[in-house]
Amino acid sequence: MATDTVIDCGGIGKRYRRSWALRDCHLAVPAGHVVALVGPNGAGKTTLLSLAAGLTLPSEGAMTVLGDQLPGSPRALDRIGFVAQNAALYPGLPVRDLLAMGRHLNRRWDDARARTHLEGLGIPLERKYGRLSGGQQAQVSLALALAKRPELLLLDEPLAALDPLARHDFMSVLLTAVAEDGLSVMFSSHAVNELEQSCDYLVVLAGGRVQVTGEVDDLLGGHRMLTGPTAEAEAVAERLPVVRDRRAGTQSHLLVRTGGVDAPVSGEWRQQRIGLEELVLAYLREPTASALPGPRGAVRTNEKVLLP
Amino acid sequence: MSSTTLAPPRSAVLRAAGLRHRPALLTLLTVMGAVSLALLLHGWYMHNGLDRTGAGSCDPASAACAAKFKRYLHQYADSMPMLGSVSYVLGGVFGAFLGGPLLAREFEHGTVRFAWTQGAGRTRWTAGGLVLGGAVLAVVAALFGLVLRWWSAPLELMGGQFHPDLFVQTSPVLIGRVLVAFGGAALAGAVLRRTVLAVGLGLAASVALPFLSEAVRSHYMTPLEEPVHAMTSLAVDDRWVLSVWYSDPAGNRISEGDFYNLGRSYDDLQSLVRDGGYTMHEVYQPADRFWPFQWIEFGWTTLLAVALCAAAVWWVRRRAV
Repeated sequence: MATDTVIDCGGIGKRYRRSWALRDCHLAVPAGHVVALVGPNGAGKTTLLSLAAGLTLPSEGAMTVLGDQLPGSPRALDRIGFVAQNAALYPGLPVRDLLAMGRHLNRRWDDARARTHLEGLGIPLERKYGRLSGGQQAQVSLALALAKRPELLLLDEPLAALDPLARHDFMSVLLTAVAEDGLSVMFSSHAVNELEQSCDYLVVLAGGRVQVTGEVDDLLGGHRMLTGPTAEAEAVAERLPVVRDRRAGTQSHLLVRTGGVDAPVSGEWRQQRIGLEELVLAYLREPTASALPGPRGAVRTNEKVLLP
Repeated sequence: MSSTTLAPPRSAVLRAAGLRHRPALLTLLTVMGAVSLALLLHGWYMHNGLDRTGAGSCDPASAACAAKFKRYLHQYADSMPMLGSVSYVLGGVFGAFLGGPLLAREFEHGTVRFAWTQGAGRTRWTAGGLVLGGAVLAVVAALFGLVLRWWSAPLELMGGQFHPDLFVQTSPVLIGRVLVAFGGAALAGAVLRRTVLAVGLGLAASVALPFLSEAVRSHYMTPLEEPVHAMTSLAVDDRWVLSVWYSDPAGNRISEGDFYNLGRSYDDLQSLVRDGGYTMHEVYQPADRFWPFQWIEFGWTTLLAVALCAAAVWWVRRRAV
């Protein structure tokens, strides 16, 4: 069953008691990507992943996953793997029993894959989950999720509690699975500096709304950092959509959206492409700026549209 | 990809629940076994004493037998009331300790995020755990009820089989009571998501339930009434005497106070009833209603337990993480 989007929601919102964790959230993530979901604490990342996994119901709006499936429906649960934050599993059970549980609870189950995965890392199957190291626990959770042969894998802060070596091991297993199965992955992360090697699609959440969404290559190609005389900065800023505007005495730095071409500015301006980390940080520092694709991403009223 | 079956078979969900709850169930069986062993040893000691003092084999109506029984109680069964109240609480304890953590700990440890995102879905997973836990608990409670009944047989000589403490510790009723504690604790765990609170509420339910059932028990069947022409403190057979009332020679009902004012001593009253035309009327449930009453009480308590478990599943279905 081919699906063009793995997560599709228009105007979805989730309220906990009186505060909105997610509000008016528009998102359409195409299949076949490794999606990084970034944003400050409390931006709604966990809520968005919980909604997609069917753990939470939206307060307003609706979401579909894997094309036209409702999150939490049997068909969706069958095809989505979920690795929770801190990878919590039953601490008193040996790894072997956890694998057996997964086998009993799922219609699709690749036991050999999980065993190969864990044995390859030297994780003893008879050891209790609670006695494994943090990195090993994360690997067991990943093995359980991948053994379902999911079409979409959701991971909530999978790297947060891991040391650098464990992070590297985790990501390499994950990316190998992506290469083998072609599954779509969406993971939330704080480690902005490590994103560039692992993801090819970016979603930035801030204050419960989607701020940036798009393929990494398009986003990086569509932004330029302009450095030039402050005297002309005002004129440039009026013509181009500026994400971040830093003006000093003589020189100014403007991060602008150019739509994949060089910005039409005079020779006095130097333009550079920027890295993913820099891009993410710029947007996070400017909560009102946004970069959303059409037609699903609504153009905000406070957003300047790129002039031809 | 076939789309005929969308979830693993129910038996597989039960097997998974078995793996998940195996440590708790093994603990339950171990503790239950240890307690049963202690009861068996103590029961053997007491039954032995019953034979040795001859209190078990004599005619209970005779004064000599009453004296023997008194001596027996003094010698062997001084600790019985205390142990009786321990075992009274014990049944509910097992239910509450199994039911409380069943759902609450999943929330506390965050394992719901794993369990509810598997192909089986949260409803089947929750129902599977409740069915498995309830079934094991019912079997264990049935066996424990048999041990308790044998152990408390000497007390039955004294208080009759309808004695409230004994009635709720006999097998079918005990099963229902344990299941109510289990279901109550599970529901509390689903709603409150705190293991300690859930276990506490389950315990409270198991302690409160006998009071409720005691209040309604005498109404399960319409009691019988029998005129008696002898004042006796002992029941004629193993019947459950609910109340007595009196009538004068003309057949008019008189209050208990008025009757007691008629004579100065117990012997006066005795002769009034025996020869003076006064009648004592006993309102009672006959001894052969013991098992029907057991099954009636088992029936409604088990239905209550099933309703509590169903409510827990319903709550889990509609509530988010």
